[in-house]
Amino acid sequence: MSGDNASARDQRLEAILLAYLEAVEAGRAPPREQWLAAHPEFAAEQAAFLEGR
Amino acid sequence: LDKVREHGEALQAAWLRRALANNLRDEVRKLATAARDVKRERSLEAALDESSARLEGWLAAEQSSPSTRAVRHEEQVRLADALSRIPEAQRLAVELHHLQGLPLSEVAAQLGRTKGAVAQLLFRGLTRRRELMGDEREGGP
Repeated sequence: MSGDNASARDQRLEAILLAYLEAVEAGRAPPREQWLAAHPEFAAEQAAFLEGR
Repeated sequence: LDKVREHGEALQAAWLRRALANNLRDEVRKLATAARDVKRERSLEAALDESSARLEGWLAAEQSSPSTRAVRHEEQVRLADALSRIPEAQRLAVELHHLQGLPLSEVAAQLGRTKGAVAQLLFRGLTRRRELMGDEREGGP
Protein backbone atom coordinates (compact mmCIF):
# COMPACT_ATOMS: atom_id res chain seq x y z
CA MET A 1 0.00 0.00 0.00
CA SER A 2 2.83 2.42 0.81
CA GLY A 3 4.10 1.88 -2.72
CA ASP A 4 0.72 2.90 -4.12
CA ASN A 5 0.73 5.98 -1.93
CA ALA A 6 4.24 6.87 -3.07
CA SER A 7 3.21 6.39 -6.68
CA ALA A 8 0.14 8.58 -6.27
CA ARG A 9 2.25 11.24 -4.60
CA ASP A 10 4.83 11.08 -7.41
CA GLN A 11 2.08 11.51 -9.97
CA ARG A 12 0.69 14.52 -8.11
CA LEU A 13 4.15 16.10 -7.90
CA GLU A 14 4.71 15.39 -11.59
CA ALA A 15 1.48 17.20 -12.49
CA ILE A 16 2.47 20.19 -10.35
CA LEU A 17 5.95 20.41 -11.87
CA LEU A 18 4.59 20.02 -15.40
CA ALA A 19 2.03 22.76 -14.89
CA TYR A 20 4.77 25.05 -13.56
CA LEU A 21 7.16 24.36 -16.43
CA GLU A 22 4.40 24.92 -19.00
CA ALA A 23 3.49 28.19 -17.27
CA VAL A 24 7.14 29.27 -17.43
CA GLU A 25 7.28 28.48 -21.15
CA ALA A 26 4.07 30.44 -21.68
CA GLY A 27 5.61 33.42 -19.90
CA ARG A 28 3.23 33.29 -16.97
CA ALA A 29 5.29 31.70 -14.21
CA PRO A 30 3.65 32.22 -10.82
CA PRO A 31 5.62 34.08 -8.15
CA ARG A 32 7.66 31.70 -5.99
CA GLU A 33 5.72 32.20 -2.77
CA GLN A 34 2.38 31.89 -4.54
CA TRP A 35 3.42 28.61 -6.15
CA LEU A 36 4.77 27.17 -2.89
CA ALA A 37 1.66 28.20 -0.97
CA ALA A 38 -0.62 26.57 -3.53
CA HIS A 39 0.78 23.10 -2.78
CA PRO A 40 2.02 23.12 0.83
CA GLU A 41 2.39 19.33 0.91
CA PHE A 42 5.07 19.59 -1.77
CA ALA A 43 6.69 22.83 -0.61
CA ALA A 44 10.04 21.17 0.13
CA GLU A 45 10.22 19.53 -3.29
CA GLN A 46 9.10 22.70 -5.05
CA ALA A 47 11.71 24.80 -3.21
CA ALA A 48 14.45 22.30 -4.07
CA PHE A 49 13.33 22.35 -7.70
CA LEU A 50 13.45 26.15 -7.89
CA GLU A 51 16.84 26.30 -6.20
CA GLY A 52 18.24 23.78 -8.65
CA ARG A 53 17.13 25.72 -11.71
CA LEU B 1 51.37 31.57 -9.79
CA ASP B 2 47.77 32.80 -9.91
CA LYS B 3 48.02 33.18 -13.68
CA VAL B 4 49.30 29.63 -14.05
CA ARG B 5 46.48 28.35 -11.86
CA GLU B 6 43.90 30.38 -13.77
CA HIS B 7 45.24 29.14 -17.09
CA GLY B 8 45.05 25.54 -15.86
CA GLU B 9 41.47 26.00 -14.73
CA ALA B 10 40.54 27.60 -18.04
CA LEU B 11 41.93 24.63 -19.92
CA GLN B 12 40.14 22.21 -17.62
CA ALA B 13 36.86 24.07 -18.03
CA ALA B 14 37.24 24.12 -21.81
CA TRP B 15 37.98 20.40 -21.82
CA LEU B 16 34.94 19.64 -19.69
CA ARG B 17 32.70 21.81 -21.84
CA ARG B 18 33.85 19.93 -24.90
CA ALA B 19 33.37 16.57 -23.15
CA LEU B 20 29.87 17.63 -22.17
CA ALA B 21 29.02 18.68 -25.72
CA ASN B 22 30.51 15.51 -27.17
CA ASN B 23 28.61 13.38 -24.71
CA LEU B 24 25.36 15.12 -25.56
CA ARG B 25 26.09 14.85 -29.28
CA ASP B 26 26.66 11.09 -28.93
CA GLU B 27 23.45 10.58 -27.01
CA VAL B 28 21.43 12.67 -29.43
CA ARG B 29 22.97 10.83 -32.37
CA LYS B 30 21.90 7.51 -30.86
CA LEU B 31 18.34 8.75 -30.46
CA ALA B 32 18.28 10.35 -33.89
CA THR B 33 19.65 7.22 -35.52
CA ALA B 34 17.09 5.09 -33.78
CA ALA B 35 14.37 7.36 -35.04
CA ARG B 36 16.01 7.61 -38.50
CA ASP B 37 15.52 11.34 -38.37
CA VAL B 38 18.55 12.97 -39.98
CA LYS B 39 17.01 16.42 -40.07
CA ARG B 40 16.47 16.41 -36.31
CA GLU B 41 20.03 15.24 -35.72
CA ARG B 42 21.40 18.08 -37.82
CA SER B 43 19.34 20.70 -36.05
CA LEU B 44 20.47 19.40 -32.68
CA GLU B 45 24.10 19.33 -33.71
CA ALA B 46 23.80 22.96 -34.77
CA ALA B 47 22.26 23.79 -31.42
CA LEU B 48 25.22 22.28 -29.58
CA ASP B 49 27.23 25.41 -30.34
CA GLU B 50 25.06 27.24 -27.83
CA SER B 51 25.99 24.92 -24.96
CA SER B 52 28.99 26.80 -23.68
CA ALA B 53 27.26 30.15 -23.65
CA ARG B 54 24.23 28.74 -21.85
CA LEU B 55 26.46 26.90 -19.37
CA GLU B 56 28.17 30.17 -18.51
CA GLY B 57 24.87 32.01 -18.37
CA TRP B 58 23.40 29.46 -15.99
CA LEU B 59 26.34 29.82 -13.65
CA ALA B 60 26.39 33.60 -13.88
CA ALA B 61 22.71 33.76 -13.03
CA GLU B 62 23.07 31.76 -9.86
CA GLN B 63 26.08 33.61 -8.53
CA SER B 64 24.90 36.30 -6.17
CA SER B 65 27.97 38.52 -6.39
CA PRO B 66 30.42 39.56 -9.11
CA SER B 67 33.04 36.87 -9.58
CA THR B 68 36.47 36.65 -11.09
CA ARG B 69 37.15 34.72 -14.26
CA ALA B 70 39.02 32.07 -12.27
CA VAL B 71 36.07 31.51 -9.98
CA ARG B 72 33.76 31.28 -13.01
CA HIS B 73 35.98 28.62 -14.54
CA GLU B 74 36.07 26.71 -11.28
CA GLU B 75 32.26 26.79 -11.14
CA GLN B 76 32.06 25.54 -14.73
CA VAL B 77 34.27 22.61 -13.87
CA ARG B 78 32.14 21.79 -10.84
CA LEU B 79 28.91 22.05 -12.81
CA ALA B 80 30.21 19.83 -15.61
CA ASP B 81 31.46 17.33 -13.04
CA ALA B 82 28.10 17.31 -11.21
CA LEU B 83 26.23 16.79 -14.48
CA SER B 84 28.48 13.86 -15.34
CA ARG B 85 27.50 12.19 -12.05
CA ILE B 86 23.71 12.23 -12.33
CA PRO B 87 21.77 9.40 -14.02
CA GLU B 88 21.81 9.54 -17.81
CA ALA B 89 18.12 10.24 -18.43
CA GLN B 90 18.14 13.05 -15.86
CA ARG B 91 21.33 14.50 -17.30
CA LEU B 92 19.97 14.46 -20.84
CA ALA B 93 16.77 16.19 -19.76
CA VAL B 94 18.74 18.90 -17.95
CA GLU B 95 21.17 19.38 -20.83
CA LEU B 96 18.49 19.54 -23.51
CA HIS B 97 16.13 21.80 -21.56
CA HIS B 98 18.52 24.03 -19.64
CA LEU B 99 21.68 24.05 -21.72
CA GLN B 100 20.17 23.70 -25.19
CA GLY B 101 17.05 25.66 -24.30
CA LEU B 102 14.69 23.21 -25.98
CA PRO B 103 11.01 23.46 -24.98
CA LEU B 104 9.54 20.72 -22.84
CA SER B 105 7.65 19.20 -25.79
CA GLU B 106 10.84 18.92 -27.84
CA VAL B 107 12.79 17.35 -24.96
CA ALA B 108 9.96 14.84 -24.51
CA ALA B 109 10.06 14.00 -28.22
CA GLN B 110 13.84 13.59 -28.20
CA LEU B 111 13.79 11.32 -25.16
CA GLY B 112 10.68 9.40 -26.17
CA ARG B 113 8.88 10.26 -22.93
CA THR B 114 5.85 12.23 -21.87
CA LYS B 115 6.21 15.86 -20.85
CA GLY B 116 5.28 14.85 -17.31
CA ALA B 117 8.07 12.28 -17.23
CA VAL B 118 10.50 14.95 -18.43
CA ALA B 119 9.30 17.24 -15.64
CA GLN B 120 10.14 14.47 -13.15
CA LEU B 121 13.56 13.94 -14.74
CA LEU B 122 14.27 17.66 -14.53
CA PHE B 123 13.19 17.74 -10.90
CA ARG B 124 15.44 14.81 -9.95
CA GLY B 125 18.34 15.95 -12.11
CA LEU B 126 18.30 19.56 -10.94
CA THR B 127 17.97 18.74 -7.26
CA ARG B 128 20.70 16.10 -7.53
CA ARG B 129 22.98 18.55 -9.34
CA ARG B 130 22.38 21.05 -6.57
CA GLU B 131 23.14 18.43 -3.91
CA LEU B 132 26.35 17.37 -5.63
CA MET B 133 27.59 20.93 -6.00
CA GLY B 134 26.56 21.71 -2.43
CA ASP B 135 28.39 18.64 -1.16
CA GLU B 136 31.58 19.76 -2.86
CA ARG B 137 31.19 23.32 -1.62
CA GLU B 138 30.97 21.99 1.93
CA GLY B 139 33.99 19.76 1.43
CA GLY B 140 31.97 16.54 1.33
CA PRO B 141 32.96 13.34 -0.52
